[in-house]
Amino acid sequence: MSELLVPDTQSVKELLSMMYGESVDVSQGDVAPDDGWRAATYVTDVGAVASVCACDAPFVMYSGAALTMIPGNVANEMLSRKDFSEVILGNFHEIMNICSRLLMSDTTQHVRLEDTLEPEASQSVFSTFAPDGTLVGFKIEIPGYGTGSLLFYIS
Amino acid sequence: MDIMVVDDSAAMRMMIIRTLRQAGFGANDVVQAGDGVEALEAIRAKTPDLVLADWNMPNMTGIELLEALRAENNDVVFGFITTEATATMRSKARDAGAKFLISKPFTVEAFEQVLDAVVG
Repeated sequence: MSELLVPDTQSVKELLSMMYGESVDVSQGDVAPDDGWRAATYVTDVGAVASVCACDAPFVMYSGAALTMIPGNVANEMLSRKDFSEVILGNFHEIMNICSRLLMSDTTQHVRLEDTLEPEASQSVFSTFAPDGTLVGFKIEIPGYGTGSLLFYIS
Repeated sequence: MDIMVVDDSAAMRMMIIRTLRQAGFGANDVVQAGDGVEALEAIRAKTPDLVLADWNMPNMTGIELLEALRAENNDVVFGFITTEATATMRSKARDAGAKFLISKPFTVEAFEQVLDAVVG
């Protein structure tokens, strides 16, 4: 059994389009986490962290808001105040849960979302995971909301 | 028909209920549970006609819920709505007694196709 899949533009677009519509725009590119980013950790069946998805504040806000159709102008206002409500973070957690499918197939090892972390806790995860893994970054535009970034680290 | 939706994400429960409505199952009574433990207690009190459960949940997972129900000889129609979509997990679900597995993210068409066949 091989390790995990490395998400690409097509697989990310297909998955996100099922939630946000066909107009979602996905492009691969260089993105680098800063201190406002949040991490989602994915673990194997024995509890080892096998992948981390890092997301910037706009992606957290827009993906969370769009999932339950919180209007784009409200989401942008909340983003400007850095107001990440329980609903937004709960929705973001579910998006990260669904994104576990980007990492698995019938021939890879099995992983599941372990947790989504606050920015402070995320920084040590990024620094631990970044040096040795495969990195792939994306810019994601969710129509009616805006553009955010995410980055997968895969061990 | 009574339908129970079991998922630890409130947003996902709302999306499932909305999709049920869009798929033509809006006239049914829907109850919700936030994990397997909560669902098991509610089912012991009143068994619904259909359970739609997530797989990965805190306290008691969906597969543990299904196994607990079957151990109590409860044969409620049970299906998963989950990110677990591999052949291995589908096989595990089927072996435990699940009637179907719908992958997240899902579509109205997926609900129509599966639910019409199972309970339509």
